[in-house]
Amino acid sequence: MSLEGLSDEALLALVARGEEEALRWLFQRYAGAFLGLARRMGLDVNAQEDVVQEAFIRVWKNARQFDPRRASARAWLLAIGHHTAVDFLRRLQARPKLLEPQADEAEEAFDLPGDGLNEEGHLDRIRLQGALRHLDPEEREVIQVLYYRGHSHQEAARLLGIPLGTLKTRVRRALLRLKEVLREP
Amino acid sequence: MNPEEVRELLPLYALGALSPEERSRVEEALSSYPELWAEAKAWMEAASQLAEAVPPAPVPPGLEDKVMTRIRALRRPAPWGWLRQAAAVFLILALGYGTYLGGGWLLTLREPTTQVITLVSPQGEVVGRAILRADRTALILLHGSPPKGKVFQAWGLDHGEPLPLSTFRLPLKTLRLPPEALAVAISLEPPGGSSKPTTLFGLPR
Repeated sequence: MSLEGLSDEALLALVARGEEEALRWLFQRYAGAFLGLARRMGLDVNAQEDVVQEAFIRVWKNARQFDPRRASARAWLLAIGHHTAVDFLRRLQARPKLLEPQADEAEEAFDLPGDGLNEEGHLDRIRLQGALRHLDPEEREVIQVLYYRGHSHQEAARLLGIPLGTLKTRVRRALLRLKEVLREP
Repeated sequence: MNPEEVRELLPLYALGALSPEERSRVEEALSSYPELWAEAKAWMEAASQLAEAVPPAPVPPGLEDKVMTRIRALRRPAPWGWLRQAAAVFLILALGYGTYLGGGWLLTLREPTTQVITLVSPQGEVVGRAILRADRTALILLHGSPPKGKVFQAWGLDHGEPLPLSTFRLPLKTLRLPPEALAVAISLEPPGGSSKPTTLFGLPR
């Protein structure tokens, strides 16, 4: 039986039981996203591929821990891809540069050209990028430093010259606003 | 970590902004606070949009095969891995505690009446094993120690309420099951133990 039509949740359940074919399908669905994220975070080509390999090893080892009550399979898988890239960045200390809010760099994360791998995904990305532009500059800045540059919260507060409490407030506000904007028709 | 501390860290957790140690602590604590799961899910969904905003990159040929080769390499040593682990624990015990347990348990595994029960967390993760002998003695082998301020407590399971048994801190414990107990489960409890399980840790699969 082909596993192609199965949901990500069902594939993860099969991976948890040791089904290699299910992991192969998850690879086909998510490897490109993991690579794109690693590239966006400033890792070189070799490190991008290492991130993908390591991320799928983590998926294989941790699939049993996936609990649909705590995250959708898509969010869980993307978090594994992102966490792996963050761990690589921190280990290699290869962050592109310290963030002094430079206008062009700050905009870059929110103005990404789509590769057009499929039209639906491309349209979704345009919508998401539009939503990101709705954030205040301060909110975009914390998202940029934490999510796309992989800094820890302590490092980010230091780099931005703000207290940790302020950083946490901005993070909370940014994510809430993102959810709000994306909910609008 | 109390629920408020976890709640405060959830947005940072979702953004990958915690250290690996903090991340593990949040994940561990979340298991104990189901009331925070919906909130955690909402933050995770919001953060996943940030990944979705990045265009996927073309996957180089051969990368899928590299991943699958590594997966297969991980699979090979799996069978009986836990038994080797148990043997290593026995060796340490034999060195440290003389003949306290002796080698009897390993020999017991050859007896057809001996049962080996896999203990799984409520999320389905394997957390240890229990070896039950025909004489109602049991050996519990767990992966890891209890969190700070907690102890393990064993429970005898029959068709009614769980029967409270010994508490212990080491990931290895021998105990005698009451006659009515058909299986054994493990929970996390405050020191001294409880009369009813507080946080389930390992249930027989």
